[in-house]
Amino acid sequence: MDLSTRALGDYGERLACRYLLAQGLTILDRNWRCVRGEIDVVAVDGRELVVCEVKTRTTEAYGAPFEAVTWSKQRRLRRLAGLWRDEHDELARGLALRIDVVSILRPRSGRARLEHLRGVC
Amino acid sequence: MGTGLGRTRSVGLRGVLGFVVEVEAHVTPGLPGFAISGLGDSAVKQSSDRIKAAAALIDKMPVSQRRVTVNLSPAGERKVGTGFDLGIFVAVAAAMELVQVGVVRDVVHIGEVGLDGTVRPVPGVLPLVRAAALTGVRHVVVPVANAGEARLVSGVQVHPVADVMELVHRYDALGRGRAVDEVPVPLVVPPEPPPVRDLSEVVGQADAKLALEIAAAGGHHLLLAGPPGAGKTMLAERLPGLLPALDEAESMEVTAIHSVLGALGDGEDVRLISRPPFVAPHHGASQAAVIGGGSGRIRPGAITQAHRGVLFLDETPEFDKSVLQSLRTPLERGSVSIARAQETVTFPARFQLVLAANPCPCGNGWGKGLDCTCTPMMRRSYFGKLSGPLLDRVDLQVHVQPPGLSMAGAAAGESSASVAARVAGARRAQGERWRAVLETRRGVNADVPGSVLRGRPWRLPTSATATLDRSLESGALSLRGYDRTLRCAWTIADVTGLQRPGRDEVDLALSLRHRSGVAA
Repeated sequence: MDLSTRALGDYGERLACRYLLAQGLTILDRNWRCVRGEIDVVAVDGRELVVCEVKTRTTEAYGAPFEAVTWSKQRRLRRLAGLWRDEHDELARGLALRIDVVSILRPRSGRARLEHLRGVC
Repeated sequence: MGTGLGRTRSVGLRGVLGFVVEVEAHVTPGLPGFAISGLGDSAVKQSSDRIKAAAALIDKMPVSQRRVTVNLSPAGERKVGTGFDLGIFVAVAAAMELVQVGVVRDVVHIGEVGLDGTVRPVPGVLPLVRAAALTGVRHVVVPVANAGEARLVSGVQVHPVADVMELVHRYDALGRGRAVDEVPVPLVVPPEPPPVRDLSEVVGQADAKLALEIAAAGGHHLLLAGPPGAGKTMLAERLPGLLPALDEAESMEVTAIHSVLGALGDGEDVRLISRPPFVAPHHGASQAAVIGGGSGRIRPGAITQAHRGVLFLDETPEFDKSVLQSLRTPLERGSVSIARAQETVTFPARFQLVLAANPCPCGNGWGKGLDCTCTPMMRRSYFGKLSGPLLDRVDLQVHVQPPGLSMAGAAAGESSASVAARVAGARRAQGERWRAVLETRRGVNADVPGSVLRGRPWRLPTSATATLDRSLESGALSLRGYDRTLRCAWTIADVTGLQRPGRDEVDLALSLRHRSGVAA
């Protein structure tokens, strides 16, 4: 992963967190890693534990950001969500699990566009 | 924003019959995906990829960025092939509000969609459109290349379509109440029909020609036994020319079968098949090729292709024994059922069987058989494959002698047309006579049970059957053979215009049963 892609991803995640906070969610964790992969954002929305994947793109030439969340990535997200919950039992107790995707399209000029899909899988 | 729900119709194929399928599409802004439910095969599953590519060419149709769920109902029925593409495409377009749901709801769509949006032909359009028409559908959209075939069906309006962009535009215009033009169908020059094979080309062979005429007139199955070069194939190929033309219902059946097999032409000029088909599979043919079957989609076999026509098995003893044996049930029932774990398909298979065989493996065992190099054992096993239950159904078993030198320069014989005229007359007489017995207007002597022929009121006087009775008593003829001879005698009487067969007819029928090498 080259630096600019990394930087773009970080930018997207910051933007997503700001957005989620504005929506009234509580952020619990960011960039949580284990051997099986990484979760971008973990948050709490009322009685729900939200595991959020953030996709950031500068152009739609290779398809919309959402299209990058393939079936296998969804499966991985589900598995990672379970792992996170196991590790943070005290935080996750009693919460239902929800997996969200935030897509951010940031063209070279103009405003970034953010879309939020709730409960995708 | 609407409900995200679109629906239209399509037709699936089961055997050689169609069934109307409801195509529902649900489009939501979720994680992109395209799922098709409803027991489709892999061609149906891959439909999503073709539709995504075709939709990318249309503005305001970002299918690849939406969550699309398509259901093909009845969802429990297996669906095969690419013909559902167009229906799925239109249902998705309706769900995305590119076309009005009300406009496409009751329209049937058939066709494969290419990556560039072209609508491509699919096999079996005739039975598909017919099924749609029978369920009361008024409008059918088909690929341009299938338009001629679809128009053979009366009672529906056929709208040819060349590509999906144009279809969307037309529906859009229709939804706004504007008039739309029909897409012109390119004229394709139909291939030259194969030259008609005339009976006058066959030199000599008076016996065999007579047998052929009787077979045509009475619908009898026929066995031609004789050495190589005697003209067995030549004779068999001329049988369809002697048979009466198919009536309208039969033409529709036969054309539908050929449509499923992809054996009809493209374009505007597709006609109903009005002549009895002639099908001659090679003796290496597998059971699936002859009876029908195959992996995945169950395809009709040669016996179904020969429905209402002639199935010719050249070199019959060379066929697999299992293939020959599997002909027995279809011969009896006029249809064949192919059963799989998941489904059972029934194909029509009412055909006239013509078998050709050499007298022995080396082919020289005719006449005195001086040149024959076969052992008696070989000769027996050669015909052993044929005899028994299969030959039970073959009323006419004749020997074809090779024409001598004196025949080579002989004048041309009778033409097919004049023989066909006699055959047509004989068929009319049989239809009248057996209407009560066989409960059909087109019954033939071959279908009449032996017990009917031997009972009142059709029993022949002893004076007529004297020779035949003697053969039975002496053991030269079985009771089965006795019945077969009676059937042929009736047909001979019909051909010659007699009310009932007399002694001459019965004796002639008996003499047409040359027995050497052929099991009784």
